Amino acid sequence: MTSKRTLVLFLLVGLLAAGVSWAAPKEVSLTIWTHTHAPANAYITKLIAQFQSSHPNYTISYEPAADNDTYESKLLAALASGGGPDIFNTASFSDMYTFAGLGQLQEITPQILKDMGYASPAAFKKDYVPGIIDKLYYKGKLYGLYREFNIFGLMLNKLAFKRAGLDATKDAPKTWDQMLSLAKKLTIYSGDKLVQTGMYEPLWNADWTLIPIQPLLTQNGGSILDPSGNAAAIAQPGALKTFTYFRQLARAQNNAPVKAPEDVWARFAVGDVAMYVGSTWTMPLLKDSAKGDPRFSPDNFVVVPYPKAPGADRVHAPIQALAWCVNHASRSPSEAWQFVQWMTSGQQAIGWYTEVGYLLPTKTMMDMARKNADVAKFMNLASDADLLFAHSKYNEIGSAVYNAWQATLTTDRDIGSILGDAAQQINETLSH
Amino acid sequence: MITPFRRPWDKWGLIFLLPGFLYFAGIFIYPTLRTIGISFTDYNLFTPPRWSGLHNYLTLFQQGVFLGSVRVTVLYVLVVGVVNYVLPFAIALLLFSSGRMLGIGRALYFLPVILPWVVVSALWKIFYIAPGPIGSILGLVGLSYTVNVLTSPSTAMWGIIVIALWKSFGFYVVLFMTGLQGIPAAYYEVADLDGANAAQRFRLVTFPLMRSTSLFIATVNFIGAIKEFDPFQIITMGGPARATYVMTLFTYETAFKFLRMGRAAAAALLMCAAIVVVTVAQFRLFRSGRD
Repeated sequence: MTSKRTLVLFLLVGLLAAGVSWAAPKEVSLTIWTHTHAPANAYITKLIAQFQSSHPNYTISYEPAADNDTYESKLLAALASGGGPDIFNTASFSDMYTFAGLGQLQEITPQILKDMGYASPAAFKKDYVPGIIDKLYYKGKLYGLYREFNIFGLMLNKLAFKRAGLDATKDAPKTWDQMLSLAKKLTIYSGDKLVQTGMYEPLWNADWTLIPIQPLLTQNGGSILDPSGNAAAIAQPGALKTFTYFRQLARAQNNAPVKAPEDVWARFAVGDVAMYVGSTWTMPLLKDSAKGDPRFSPDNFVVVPYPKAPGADRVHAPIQALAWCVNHASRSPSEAWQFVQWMTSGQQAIGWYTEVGYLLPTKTMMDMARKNADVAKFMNLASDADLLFAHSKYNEIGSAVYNAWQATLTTDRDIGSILGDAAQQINETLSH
Repeated sequence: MITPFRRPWDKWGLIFLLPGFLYFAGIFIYPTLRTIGISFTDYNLFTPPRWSGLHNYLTLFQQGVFLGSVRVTVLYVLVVGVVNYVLPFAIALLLFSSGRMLGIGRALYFLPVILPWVVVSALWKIFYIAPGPIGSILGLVGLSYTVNVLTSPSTAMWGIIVIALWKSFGFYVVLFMTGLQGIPAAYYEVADLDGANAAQRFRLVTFPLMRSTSLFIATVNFIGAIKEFDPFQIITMGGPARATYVMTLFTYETAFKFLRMGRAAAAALLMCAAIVVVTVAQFRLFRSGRD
């Protein structure tokens, strides 16, 4: 009798244990939205397929934006209605602060970090380039992981230099004054037709305003906001000097940078633009833009640091970053973060560079990247690089800076007055 | 006491009206009232609106960016409003008087009307590239086109105006043609018998009898111009240096980029008020000469 009871007990315990092991893992359904960048879209799709094959309980649907210009508005409307994707990339780095401030993001809690395999926040930070992870914190809470981390340098096209009788390697500008005189020499007109632009100055959006100007602005002791962060500093002498320089740069080229804003990548790829700013993703883009033109070759490009003003402490190369975030309304926040962490670590992180051209600031990836000659050119700039200006009211502040930049380059208005208007707009933004 | 006569099916009329009324209330009355309410609040879509009184309206009138957008809008509306009235009227008269090419002409000038703004914008962005198609065409007659008009604050708005006129004038030509075809031939015969010349025929017969059509076209054209958004968003995004930053773009950015829904609502209502005022003025203008 006792042996029967023992047998039944064993069977029950066995069945219970088997039941536990048979219990299907939690079904997880995730949606991802991103802006569109063809190589990134393809890589994310590939990663999702790979992840789902090893995690059959995950169903991940991916929707890259049909139109990058409206991506931010679409995301905003979706979040405001309480919906939206589980995982998304921010349209600008600052959006992470904006959305976090509005309570729309899921924090990466210490528990979620543990779920990701990190014993503590300190262990997590150790995986990244020192100090860089702090930028993902908002009011002491971690809200994002890096999607891309683009260190910018000055790219020179050897063909364009040669056309002007110069050598891109020997004649690369080291000071801003040298850049000014080089830009003048490198700009070539045939009659009134522009043949070659010396140094291109983009007129696209706020980020693309800050990418060329932030190093000189910082070197000149200028900034967008004052150290308190509560008032505009854009009308102060450092900024005035910076904007004046870039107007001179445009005028020295008979406004060539403003005259031909379209197809800049295609023109740069084949040597019709001599100098421009670029990052690790630029080369694949140039190759695509060249559309098989024999004048394109990766060997035609030299990467050098931005110029340095006399007396400046360092170059302050700009870093444009984007973050992955998780919607606070997500039903599977921990799983969403685990997927993002998987997507941006290990071999997957390396794939971001090899397949898309994006760098991520993980130590492993940085070490790997240094071994690649093309990446190393940019990595060498990382030691004195700064993230682009970011703020929870970036869209409004950036709009003021961008318009000041446009007015500086495309009109003859007094720059002091232009920057005064921008400062007034920024102060009005900060006061409400 | 006289009891009003009621037919037994009268109540059914009200019931049948109900869906239409609910639809109208849902998509027009409620959003309008809500917009008015929001315009008196500080609201960012994510946190509950906070009452701010007239602050949004006062801020708008102190804000250089908004006032700039009003100036840009006024320029656009005036030029498009006038040219898009005169030009289609002239073309319609030409086509009507010649009596030829009506079918082919109609197809040609109406084609841009049916094209979506996205297509039109992409097309004209390419046209305007310098050197490019326009430069090649002008080069045939010895003219040069070396700078993209969209890249200069002094010419960008004119570049958009040309596109807007090209896109919409065909619609107004059709309306004018319809109006002209509705004028009885007898009036012209009488004018001919009285020895009226072409100018007198236009001044004394055509123009007065086209008053209703003119009022409709002027009103629709004006409202369309003040509400124009697509070309400014797609082609120039309000630039360069806010030279094409119209009120609709200001409202859109204020709402969906800067998350200032109250201020955007106030701007939208001011735009609405401008439409009402000018529409009433147009009604008075076109009715003032009525016999």
